[in-house]
Amino acid sequence: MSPSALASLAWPFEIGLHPVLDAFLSIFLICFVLVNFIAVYAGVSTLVERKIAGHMQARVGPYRVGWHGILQWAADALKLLLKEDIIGRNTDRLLFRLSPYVVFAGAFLCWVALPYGPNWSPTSMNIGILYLLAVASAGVIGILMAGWSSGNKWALFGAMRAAAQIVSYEVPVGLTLLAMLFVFGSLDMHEVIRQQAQGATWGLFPEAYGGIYSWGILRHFPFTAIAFIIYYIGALAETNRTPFDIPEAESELVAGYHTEYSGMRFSFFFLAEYANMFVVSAIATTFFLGGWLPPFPSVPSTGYAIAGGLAGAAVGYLKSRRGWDAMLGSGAGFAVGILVGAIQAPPGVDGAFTGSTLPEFVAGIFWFMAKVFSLIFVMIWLRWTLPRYRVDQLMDLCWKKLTPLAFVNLLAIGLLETRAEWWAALTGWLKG
Amino acid sequence: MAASDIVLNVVFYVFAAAAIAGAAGVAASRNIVRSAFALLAVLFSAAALYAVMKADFLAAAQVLIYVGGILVLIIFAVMLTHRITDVNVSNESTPGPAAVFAVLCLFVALGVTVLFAAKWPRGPEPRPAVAGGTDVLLLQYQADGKTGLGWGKGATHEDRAVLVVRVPRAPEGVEEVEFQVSAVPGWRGDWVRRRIAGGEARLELSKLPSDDPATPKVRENRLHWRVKLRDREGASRPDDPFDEQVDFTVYRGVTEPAARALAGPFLFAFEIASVLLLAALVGAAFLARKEVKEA
Repeated sequence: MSPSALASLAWPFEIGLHPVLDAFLSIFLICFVLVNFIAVYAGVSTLVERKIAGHMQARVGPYRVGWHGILQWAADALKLLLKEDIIGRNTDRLLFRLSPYVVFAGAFLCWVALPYGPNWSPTSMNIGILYLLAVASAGVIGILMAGWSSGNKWALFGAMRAAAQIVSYEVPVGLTLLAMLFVFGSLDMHEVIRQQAQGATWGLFPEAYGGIYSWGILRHFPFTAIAFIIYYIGALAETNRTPFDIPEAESELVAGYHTEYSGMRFSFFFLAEYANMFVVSAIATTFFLGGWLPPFPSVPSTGYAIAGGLAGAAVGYLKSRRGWDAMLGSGAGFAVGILVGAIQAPPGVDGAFTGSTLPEFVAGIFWFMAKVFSLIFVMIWLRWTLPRYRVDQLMDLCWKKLTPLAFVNLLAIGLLETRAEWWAALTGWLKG
Repeated sequence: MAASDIVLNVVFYVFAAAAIAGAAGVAASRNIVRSAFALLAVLFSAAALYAVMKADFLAAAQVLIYVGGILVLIIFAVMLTHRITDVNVSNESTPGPAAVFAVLCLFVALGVTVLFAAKWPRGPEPRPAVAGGTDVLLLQYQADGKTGLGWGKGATHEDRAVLVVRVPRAPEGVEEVEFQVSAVPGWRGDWVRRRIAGGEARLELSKLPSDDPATPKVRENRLHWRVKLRDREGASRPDDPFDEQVDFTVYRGVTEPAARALAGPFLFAFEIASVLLLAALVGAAFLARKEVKEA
């Protein structure tokens, strides 16, 4: 596959039928692939989440279906498909049936504009982040629709809480992203990532180019790091994840806005939640963690292998305090290190990671997915660590703490970005 | 008709129908909450229509503000002001025949005005650049993929660009036009020579291979074009009017022009509109407060 063939991964695909048919078929194909990816990813994530929860609570989690329960997600999916579809007597039947699709569409529309690999998205647009914020906010309507049409007060309260929470937390999230737009000067997701391949102002050891020091999170340290934390908290709230899961707080509202849903319709809410987790993590990755850029592009594969071996040995030894486990862990870590080092493509001739060759393209997708799934892991980790907020505490955190902090942060980043201009103006004014 | 036009036409009719159906739902539904939800179809379809017209920024802003903000507000208001658990809150008023007639007349008048009187400028106006008494008009610029929500082969950051320059009154002996494209500030591209045929010269740039170190990466939202006139031997004329190198700046997409318009000529109108919204907000707070006092 040549670089130009990679570039033509964009749609419309040239399938070879009539061009109009090609266009609609490629839309269908892209959506088909994405929807199925979401379904499988959400299913596997539930299994991973339950396993992590189990181990954090000193139990084993799902264990019956398949080896160590690895087929549990398929069994769950089958169960959801076969469950009876119940529609209550007091529901508004039209809106009740419609709302799962509206909620899911709000999440799914984001997926077509995420930067999955070097310069590659299902569709590219120069207003990327604006589009993502816009369609993500459209999902709220579906939640309100679900809560109201259920004809159940718990569902209605859950929906009102969810809408209030999502609308409120859009403010600090939008402000932090605005601050990052000062830094990168583009709404285009890929342009934002390309900006992070250069422009490091400091570093512990010199990177030939790019690398972790030029990523958004370390660009204007510590302000962009604060922005990242605000964004991540806001993202947790917007996806209704613990500690912000008051819209579906079991102990207060049964299950919130999807109380009345069962079977396949319920699973759409479920898919939308996991799809939203991916989307907010992908936006965080794009703006703060360098998107599809490798973290240490000048470190050779051997460096990864050695680091992996040492880390594996340390984990193996600390886990059991036995030399054998340290050896085993070292071997496993060594293998993973070699794999990561091999996937991390060697830099090109001019030293820039452009993602235009096939190894770099694969490396880009690998790093993007690795960063996104790390952030999703942190979300799961927090869910099983922190208790739930109360409604008033949640609003207090948003409006009295995060929003003012985000404003101050915005000002600081703006001043840092324009420091040459205002410094020149200030000194010129002082000199007279 | 090009394939992309057919696709856009199909999408246009689908969303136009959805918008009309949604509007009919808003007006005809007996249930006020359903009316509010039917607005979703109207507003979303309007955004899709903007996207079909390649006004991608406007489309995203429409969804962000109207669907994500105002519609949520309306639904909240409807839910909070009525007995929300009662599904049968209905809209009982029906328009009289006079009202129907008046509205129809207005609609027909609007339609006639739009069809016959309104001027619809097609595409950007040619931008003249005059130097040494010779006009060079930038006629056409096209960069698919960056201008519409998702239409076109624009997955990489380089696009196909077409530049047509009209030289209506070429000086004696001038037969060719040279173009210089610069996309990155400070970068100077090669001069590309094109013949003037019928007073026009045309340059097409296809997607630049990004791994070729000689080609620039189009990282800006605009391209700079420079034009020179050459005679048949390729010698620069001693009186070449374009040795001063006239720059054409062409914007890709609509975000930047929209931003410039909002922060430039329309800044005052923009701020006045926000003052109006503030007044509405203060008024709403005042009304709500008064009600509480009386109770």
